Amino acid sequence: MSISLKRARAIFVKDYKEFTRNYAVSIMLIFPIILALLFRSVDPSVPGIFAVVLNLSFVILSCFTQACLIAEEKERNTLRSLMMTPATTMDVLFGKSSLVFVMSAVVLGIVTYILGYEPTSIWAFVAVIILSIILYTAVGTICGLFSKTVLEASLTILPVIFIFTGAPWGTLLVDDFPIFKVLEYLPSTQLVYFLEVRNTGFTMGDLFPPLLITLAWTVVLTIVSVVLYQRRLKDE
Amino acid sequence: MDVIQVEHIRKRFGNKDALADVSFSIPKGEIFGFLGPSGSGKTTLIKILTAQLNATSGQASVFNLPAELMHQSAQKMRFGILTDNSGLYERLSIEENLELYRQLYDLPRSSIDKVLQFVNLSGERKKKVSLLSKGMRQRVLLACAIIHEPELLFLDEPTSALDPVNSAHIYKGLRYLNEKGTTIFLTTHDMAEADLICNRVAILYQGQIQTIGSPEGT
Repeated sequence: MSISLKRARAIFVKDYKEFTRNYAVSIMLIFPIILALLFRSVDPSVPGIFAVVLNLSFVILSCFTQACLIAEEKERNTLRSLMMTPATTMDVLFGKSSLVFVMSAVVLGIVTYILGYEPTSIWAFVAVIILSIILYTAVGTICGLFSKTVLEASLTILPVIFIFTGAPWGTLLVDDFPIFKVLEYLPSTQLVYFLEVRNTGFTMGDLFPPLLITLAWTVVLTIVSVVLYQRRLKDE
Repeated sequence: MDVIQVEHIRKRFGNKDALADVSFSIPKGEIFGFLGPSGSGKTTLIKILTAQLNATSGQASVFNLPAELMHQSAQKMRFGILTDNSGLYERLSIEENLELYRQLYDLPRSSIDKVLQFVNLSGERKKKVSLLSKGMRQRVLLACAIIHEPELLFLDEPTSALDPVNSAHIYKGLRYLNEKGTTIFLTTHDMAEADLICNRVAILYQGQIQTIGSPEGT
């Protein structure tokens, strides 16, 4: 599977121009910042607050935005036109995801600064954020490819918001409903576990399990999004 | 040399044949018209030839390669396509839309000026696509399809949204492209259009070719 950086860049630039003129989607950038400002006054020692804001930000920024961008291309038939050019699957997906990646990274950086979060290990923190952005962008791509219109994409994303942001709360009911133990393996819950590792006395063994589970989710969902896109190349 | 060869192509959707045993070939440099009413299988055939659909049976080749290989970038550089499934970026200007295609096909900047002249839209290049009339949009779509001066051009009812003046301008342009060596595969339901521009036509009805030959003879 080849990738042409020149073509991916052309798609990135096109998406950037469209995004800056699409206020319905570009306004999404400010919501995580508003959330961070609202939660800024909460005692930073309260566990989970930062994770709640981060999980919501991933869904709003990476997932919802990507789903809307892909769905709009489908709605206006531009995705099919793009597929008929020499741009490969990887060119299109890399180009389209790059914009969401850059925006998410910048806004999440601002959110982290506002909330004053000090990571246990900066490298592990950066790794988990990068993996999460890729993961949620892949979920957004999948939702966008399953939707025919932007409106449909907005609705498709609702179960994702519910499951991914609700999972950490669902794990509180594990004692009463053992089946909810499965929620512990969702990336949003793993992010909570990761952020709860204390600054003092931690070992890399504490950081690795959530990192590896998030990595596994990222790999699987990225593969699913690529396969699904390739299937959409055909009209069968 | 034949640019397109189709042998006993059949395409079945559910229990209905969209195409039933269709065979024909198009030599290099020809303008070939595929005539037929809506739902006769014209678009299905274009989709098979451009690897958007797989045939149920039979063989189709483009540039002497199996049509299924037309999804490859190297092959996509060789053909252009305009169908009713083609779209434009509404928030971008005509020029910005063409700039994307220029970069995807790795062309020089001058190709935008050239193609805008071709579709008679040089004066409107800064106009946002959302502000364009249906006819102007169709001309921009055509510009996107031919910006790389393809060897083969698939056109699915290219003048259906155009008034006679714009249609005449497009015909003139297509003849010019054809004189430069582009083979054109055109579908239409307008016999007069086929008569005006095509070297040969095939009439498709209920998925089968009824007759094939020069427009005068069919």
